[in-house]
Amino acid sequence: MTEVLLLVSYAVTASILVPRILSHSVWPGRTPRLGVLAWQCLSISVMAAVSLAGLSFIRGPLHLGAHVATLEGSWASLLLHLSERATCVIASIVGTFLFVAVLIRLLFCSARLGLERRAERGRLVQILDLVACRDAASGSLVLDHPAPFAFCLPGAGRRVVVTSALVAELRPEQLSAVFAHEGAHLRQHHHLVIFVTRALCAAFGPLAPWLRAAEREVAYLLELMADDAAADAVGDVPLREALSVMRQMPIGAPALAASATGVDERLRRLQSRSTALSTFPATLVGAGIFALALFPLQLVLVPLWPAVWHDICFLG
Amino acid sequence: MGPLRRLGDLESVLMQILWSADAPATVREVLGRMDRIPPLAYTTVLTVMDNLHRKGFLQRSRVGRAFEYWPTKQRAEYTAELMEELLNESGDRSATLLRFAEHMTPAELSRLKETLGD
Repeated sequence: MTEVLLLVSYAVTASILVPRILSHSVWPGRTPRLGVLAWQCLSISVMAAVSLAGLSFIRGPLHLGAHVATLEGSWASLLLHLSERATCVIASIVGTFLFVAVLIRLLFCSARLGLERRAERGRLVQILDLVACRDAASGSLVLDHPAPFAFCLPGAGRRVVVTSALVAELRPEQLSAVFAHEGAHLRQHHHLVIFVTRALCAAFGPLAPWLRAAEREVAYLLELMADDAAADAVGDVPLREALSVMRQMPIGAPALAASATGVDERLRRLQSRSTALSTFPATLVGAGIFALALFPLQLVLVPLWPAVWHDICFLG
Repeated sequence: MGPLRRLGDLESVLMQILWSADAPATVREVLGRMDRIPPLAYTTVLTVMDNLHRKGFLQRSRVGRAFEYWPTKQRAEYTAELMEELLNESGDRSATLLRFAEHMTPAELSRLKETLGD
């Protein structure tokens, strides 16, 4: 029973405290890779904790049955026996439900998201291949459009797409910076990371609103990772210039615009070019992340250790 | 490389021809406007145009024994629709797009300029 309480309290505490800590920390911005890992581990470990709590719920009441057998026959003990048996059954049902529900919900939402995404992407690629021109030099697709825009379509048949307006506005080295940035997204398969965050959001979003914050933060950190890769490839000056030019060009169309803070922060970060965490602190943070992520699993496995140890001693 | 890639390029070329044509065209007419050396087979072009029709990019009507094809939408229409869709992307869109930078409405831009003292 203690395991269930520990797992549930871990899940609750982690989902309240850790997102807040991560959002206000500086180190994810300095080493975005670790930041992404932290967010992903948090989400997965909280989900695992809830699921394992269900599993422990099944195991816990089964121990009670052993104690009941020692009571001597009487009405009171019979009633106690029956009520404890009933509790066992109910607890087992609840526990099984919880354990299975979490996994099935995640699988179902992931499958649905994956299929939707593939269909959508296929449609976009089909239209793009017909409508856009391929630029032989950069291997990118150019869409004839008056609004400056650049994006990549990940997955099978990866493509980087830019508009003719962007090509007209940027100088060649700035354009290379944009290509390097989008290329980094494709090369590092960021769409898979985003898929995980979106699947978790779709599956458990209503129950855990912090998952949406996780999705936003991870998306931003992935942009930082692409920025770093582009800055390494072509230098940070062309990238900064490209970002500044993009920031100043509003789009007349009725576009949903996110706030401009993302671009400003990225510009500031590239300007100061704060160094990533050095090896020792990074290792420490990484170890902390893994310990936190594996904590639910450890909670479940710890009761088994004495049994295992006992067997080993007994054999010896 | 190989036939599959050429087919995709051919679709693009054929759409280009039909977009710049000012009247519906038969397969024969489209073949005549291509300057491929050696020229493509009639059946190849027919197959690809039939595919494009099946995918919804071309409309057709029977004229005599052959079909006349014309594009469902103009190229600019496709581009505009695509861009509109992408610019209006909310967070729940299923196709992942990793954009280079967020954009602002003119109102937000002026507000930003105020705060930055540009």
